[in-house]
Amino acid sequence: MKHVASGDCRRSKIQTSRAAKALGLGLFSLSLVLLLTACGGVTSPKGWASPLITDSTLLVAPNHQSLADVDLQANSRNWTFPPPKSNISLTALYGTPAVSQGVVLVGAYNGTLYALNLSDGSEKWSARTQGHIVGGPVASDGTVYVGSADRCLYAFAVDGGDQRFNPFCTGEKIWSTPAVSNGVVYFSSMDKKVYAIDATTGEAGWPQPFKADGAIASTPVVDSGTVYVGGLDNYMYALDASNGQMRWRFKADDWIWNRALVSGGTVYFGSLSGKVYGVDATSGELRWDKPFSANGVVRGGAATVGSTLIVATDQGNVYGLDASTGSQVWSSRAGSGVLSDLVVDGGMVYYSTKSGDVQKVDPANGTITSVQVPQ
Amino acid sequence: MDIITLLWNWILVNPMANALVLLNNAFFGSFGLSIIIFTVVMRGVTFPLTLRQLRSSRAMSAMSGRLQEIQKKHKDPKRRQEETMKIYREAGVNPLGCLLPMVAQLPIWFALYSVLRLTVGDVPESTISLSKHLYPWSFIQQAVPLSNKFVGLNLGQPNVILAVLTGATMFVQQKMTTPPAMDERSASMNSTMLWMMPLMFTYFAISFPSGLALYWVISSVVGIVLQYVYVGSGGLTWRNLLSLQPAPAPKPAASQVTPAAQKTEPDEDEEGEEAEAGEAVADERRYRKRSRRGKRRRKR
Repeated sequence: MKHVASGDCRRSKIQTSRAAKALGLGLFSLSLVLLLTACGGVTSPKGWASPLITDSTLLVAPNHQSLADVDLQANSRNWTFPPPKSNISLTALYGTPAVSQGVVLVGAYNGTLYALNLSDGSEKWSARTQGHIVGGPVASDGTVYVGSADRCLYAFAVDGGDQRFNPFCTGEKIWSTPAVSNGVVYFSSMDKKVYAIDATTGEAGWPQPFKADGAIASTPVVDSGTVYVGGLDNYMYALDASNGQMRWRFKADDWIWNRALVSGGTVYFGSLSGKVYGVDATSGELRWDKPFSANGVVRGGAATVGSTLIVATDQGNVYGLDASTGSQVWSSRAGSGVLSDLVVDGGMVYYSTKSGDVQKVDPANGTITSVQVPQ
Repeated sequence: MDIITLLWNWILVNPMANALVLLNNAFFGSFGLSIIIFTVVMRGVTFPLTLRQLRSSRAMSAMSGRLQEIQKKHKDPKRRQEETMKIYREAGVNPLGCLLPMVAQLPIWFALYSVLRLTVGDVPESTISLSKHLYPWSFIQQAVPLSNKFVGLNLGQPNVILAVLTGATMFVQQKMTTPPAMDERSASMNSTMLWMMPLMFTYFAISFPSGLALYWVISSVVGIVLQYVYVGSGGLTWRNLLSLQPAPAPKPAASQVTPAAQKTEPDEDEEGEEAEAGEAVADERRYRKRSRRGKRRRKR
C-alpha cells in the first residue's frame, strides 16, 4: 500500500496557496476596476442650461451639449449649434443663453463665448477664455458680459466681439452669471467676494468688494437698490447696490446656489439641502412660519406665477407653493432631475431636466407637459 | 443599495473627505500636501498589518540559507516545495501574508477615489455633491473651493509622470519583497507578479485622478522605507534593479546552514516509486521530530 497521503496533502497545500494568491490577485484587480469605474461621484460636466423663450422661438440645449432654436408655432427646429458634422464641441452648457440685437450669446464649458445669428444659428464671432464658462452671459447696451473659471470677467461688443475693457480678474473662478443695473455690473466669485464694476470702463464701482464667509457661485439679483446673493456659507446676503455694504444676511440650513427671486417684497430662494425660504426683502426676517422642505437639491432659481411659487429639485420633484405662506399647493414628478432655472412665459413655467428634455408645468395644478424638440 | 451607499459614505467617504479638507486648511491650502500627510497617516493606521508582513519577510530573509540548501539538496521540484513549506511552517511564515495589507487598503483606495472626484473634480455637479459630504462646521465649509493644483499637477486629472512613478515605486517595492524562487515554476510566477502589478497600477494611475496616483506613490515609498528598515534591501542593488527577475537572495551566514538536514535526507535521485512512498512516511516522522525540536528551542 502506498503511504503517500501526507506528501500529497502537503503538495496540495502548496498548490492551494499558489491558487489562492492568484485568485486573490485576480479578484483584487477585477474589483478595483469595477468599483473605481462604477462608483464615485461625477467628474464629467453635464450642464444645466435653462431654456430661453423669445418671441415665438424657444432656445433650448438638448442634452446640454448643443443649442437649438425651435419655432413653437410651426413646431420645427430652425437651427442647431454646433451644426451637424462640425468639429466644435461645447462640452456642456450651464448658463442660460442671452439674446441681444438679433444675436444669440452662449457661453460653453469649453471656455468659449459664442455669438450666433438668431436667424440661422451661424457663428458671428467667438471669444475664447482661459477657463470653463459655467455662468451665463448677460447683455446690456450693446455689451455682453461673461465670467470664466480663469477668474476673470470679460466684456465684448455684441456686434463685433471687440473687447470693451481689459478682463477684470478676481481671486478664484467665476461660476455665476453677472447682473447689470444702472450702468454697473455685479457678479460674484468663488473667492468669497461680490464685485461691482463700471459697465463701460470696467473700473471698480465699490470702494472694495463685499467679502462673505464662503465661496459664492450664485447669480446676484438687483432689485430696488439692493443686491441679493446667496453663498456656500449658508447665508443669503442683501447688499447696498451703491457701496456694497451689507444690509442684512439670513442664515439658511445649507449652501445656497441659486438665483434669488424677488417678488412682492419677498426674497425667495432654496438651499442645497432642499429647504425653500421666503424672506422679507427689507428686514431679512423669515416671512413664513417655517421653510418648506423639498425632496432634493434646489439649485435652479424659482419662479412665481400669480400667488404660486414654483420650485424644482434634482430628484425631479416640482412643487407649487403658496408664495405667502410657503405651504405646498401641489407637487409633481418631472421624471428626471432639474438643476436649471425656471422660466416663465405665457403663464407657464419652463425648465430643462438633467437629461436635456424641456418641460413646462401649469402653475395652477402642477400638470407637467414635455415640450417636444423636433429633430 | 441606498443603505450600502449611506453606510459607505458615513463610514469612509465623509470622514476621509473632511479629514482631507481639514489637512488642506492646516497645510496652507495645499490639497496635494494634505494627500501626502493623509497617506502617511493611513500607513500608520495599517501598520500592524504591515508589521506582520514585514516580520514574515524578515523571517523569510533569515531562512534564505536553509532555502538555498534545499535548492541544492533536492533536485525533485515537488520535494523542494514540500521542504520549503515545512520551513515556512516552522518559522510561522504565511505565504499569503503580503496580501493582507493590500486588501486592507482596498477600501481606502475606493473611498479616496470618490473623495477626489468630489473635492478636486472641478465640475459644478461634483461641487453640489460635495455639499452632502462635508460636516456642517464653518472651518470645513469655508475651505471650498479646494485648489486642485499641486507642483504643476491637476490633482483631478490623470498625469502620465505620476502614473509612471506609481509603477516604478511599486516595482521597486515588489523587488524588495518578492522572495527568491525555489524552482522554475515559482520563478516564473514571481517574475510575472513582479512586472504585472506595477503595470496594472500604472494603467490605473493613467485612468484616474492624479491625486490617487500621488497616494500610491507615497504609499509605495513609505513601504520601501519600512521594508528597508525592518528587513533590509532584500538583495536589491542598482545592478539588478532593472531586471525583471526578483532580487537574488542575499548570501546566507554560516550559522544558517543546517548540517542535520544534510545528514538525514536521503539522495532522492536513487529512489524508485515505492521507495518514494515509504520516504513520505519517513518524512512525516522526521517532520514531527523537527517540529518538536523547534518548539523546544523556542521555549529556551
